[in-house]
Amino acid sequence: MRSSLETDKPERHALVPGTPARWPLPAAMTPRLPITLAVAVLGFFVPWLISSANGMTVLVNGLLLGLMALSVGFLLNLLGWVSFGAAAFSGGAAYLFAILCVSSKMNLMPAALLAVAGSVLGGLLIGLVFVRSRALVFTMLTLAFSQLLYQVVSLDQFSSATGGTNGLVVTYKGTFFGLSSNQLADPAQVWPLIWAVVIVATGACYLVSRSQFGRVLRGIRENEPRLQHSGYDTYLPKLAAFGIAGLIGAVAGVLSAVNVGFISPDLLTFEASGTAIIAALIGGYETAIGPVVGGVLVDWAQNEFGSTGNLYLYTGIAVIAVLVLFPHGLTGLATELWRRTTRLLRPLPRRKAARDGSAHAVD
Amino acid sequence: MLGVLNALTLSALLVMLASGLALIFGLRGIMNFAHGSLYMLGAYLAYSLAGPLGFWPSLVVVPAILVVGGALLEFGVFRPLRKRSDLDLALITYGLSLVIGQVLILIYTGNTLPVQAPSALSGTVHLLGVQYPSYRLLIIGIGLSTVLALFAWLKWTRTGLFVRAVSHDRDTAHMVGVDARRIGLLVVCMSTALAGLAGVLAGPYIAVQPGMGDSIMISSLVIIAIGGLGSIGGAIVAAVLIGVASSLGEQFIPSVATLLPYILLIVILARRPQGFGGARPA
Repeated sequence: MRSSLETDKPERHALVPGTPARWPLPAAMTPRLPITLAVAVLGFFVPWLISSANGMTVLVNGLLLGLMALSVGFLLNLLGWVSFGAAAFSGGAAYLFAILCVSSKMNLMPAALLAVAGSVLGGLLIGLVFVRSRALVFTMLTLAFSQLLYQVVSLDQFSSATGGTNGLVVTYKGTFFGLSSNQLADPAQVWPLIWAVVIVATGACYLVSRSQFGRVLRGIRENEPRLQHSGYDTYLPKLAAFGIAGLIGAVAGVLSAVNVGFISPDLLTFEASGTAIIAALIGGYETAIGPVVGGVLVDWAQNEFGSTGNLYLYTGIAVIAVLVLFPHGLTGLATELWRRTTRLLRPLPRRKAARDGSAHAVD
Repeated sequence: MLGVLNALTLSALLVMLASGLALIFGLRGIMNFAHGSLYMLGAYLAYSLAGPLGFWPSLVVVPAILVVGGALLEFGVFRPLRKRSDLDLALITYGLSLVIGQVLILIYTGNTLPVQAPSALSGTVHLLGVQYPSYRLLIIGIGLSTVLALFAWLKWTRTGLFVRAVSHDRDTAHMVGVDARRIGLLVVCMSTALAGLAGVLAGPYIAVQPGMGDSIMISSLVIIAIGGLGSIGGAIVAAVLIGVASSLGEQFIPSVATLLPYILLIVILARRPQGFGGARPA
């Protein structure tokens, strides 16, 4: 039934195994690598530029939301799956970390590593079942799972460990990559750490999406049976992709718990996952940096408009406007504008080649 | 017995919402996240109309208003954006639900509003050995009869056949002369009207407050996932199952009762990914 409904929609992604990959771009390649590297390096100096503590807090929270959005966008881009599990991974990891720190009195570093490892392992275990289902059922399962976690941490029976509905202040000892707990709570001092994590995560997602593995995932998204008939195993790649998304989400959750020092069931709500999805969409999930850009923007907007009490109204309008006007998000819009500008600047005979190349450059 | 009746009341409300969701999903493949806020809109409208009109007329007037809302949704969102992916449309409806919810809060403030059951039904009835509020029996009666009528309509009427045909294969149905666009409009309007009706009924049963749409929306999603996305029959069975599980869980294992729907969903979908109904509309 689904397949027939889907036929009247145009294929959004043209890339299937066998068709030319986007890279290498045609001769008129944009100087992207130097720009990316420059931004990555200059990003470390942001605390020197922004002196207000509030501004830095917004940026740090924005990057953390961006990481969650990256976890969502990764699955959305490569497999076409909408995961409501971003909150489950990040919130679950944050809870695990808090419990290890508070109840088990572990040091910061081992607790953080163990929490990430535990969440990824748990994610892979549920993934064994979840990734077998088709896209929408997957969405429902991840939604149910995060709701389940939300209810579990809210239960009174576990409140000695989880703090119940009131949440829990996370006190920890030891250092984290050389940062003490006071430094970790200061957005300006924790910035380099989080910026580095974001660079590694976006870079890894970018490389994965360009690799053979990424191509297999795209093939699964476009036509899983065909890929199976071609002799590819599709189960393990899907599971691995789910694990990668889980890893990114878990890292975001632990970093957030380390930075904020407080956890509550709010981390696991429907809204938490929804916000991550919105960030991925607004930024544009078809690029690796899109979700991060979206995360910062959404967090900034929440901070800006949250005090008016009409946050949901503006969020709703923004979501509708972006989806209707810029279906590929803001980075998609930027890419398109850049392409048009460079096309104008290019000498005439090469225009056709660039057009042919860009036909495959949707992803 | 009290547990069974409570289960049925909850199920009746849930099944009205879930079948509306399943109708749109079956026909267009779109998850309408604005459904919960339309239900909330219905409840608030009924609150406003309770003064000038009274409860009984609002049972008809509110769904009629929501039919107009459904037409707006069809002509304003689903039709102009039909070329877009299902995901885009689902998220646009999510945006809509945020807007509708916040606008309602702006109009009615965020406070919980009391709605009285009509005086004829404010008492209790002696039934199956317990005293049971008669208003809840009305919910059971209206809810289950509406949904069974919907099921019968889909199964045994000509238009119902068309709806099933379009749900099954839009292009082929169109080719053999079914006006798929008109069926689409009809189905969206029916779905929103059902949400409105559920909202009116919910007013005196659950308090009218801003969070009412979200919480029931999640339950409805769980139900249509268990029922087989897009299947009305499956949704009916799943709603009863979830209602019974929640109410009985509340009674016997109150500590983990809130977990039951999600555990059920995960277990059932892990065993049977197509759900009960396997995506057959009826």
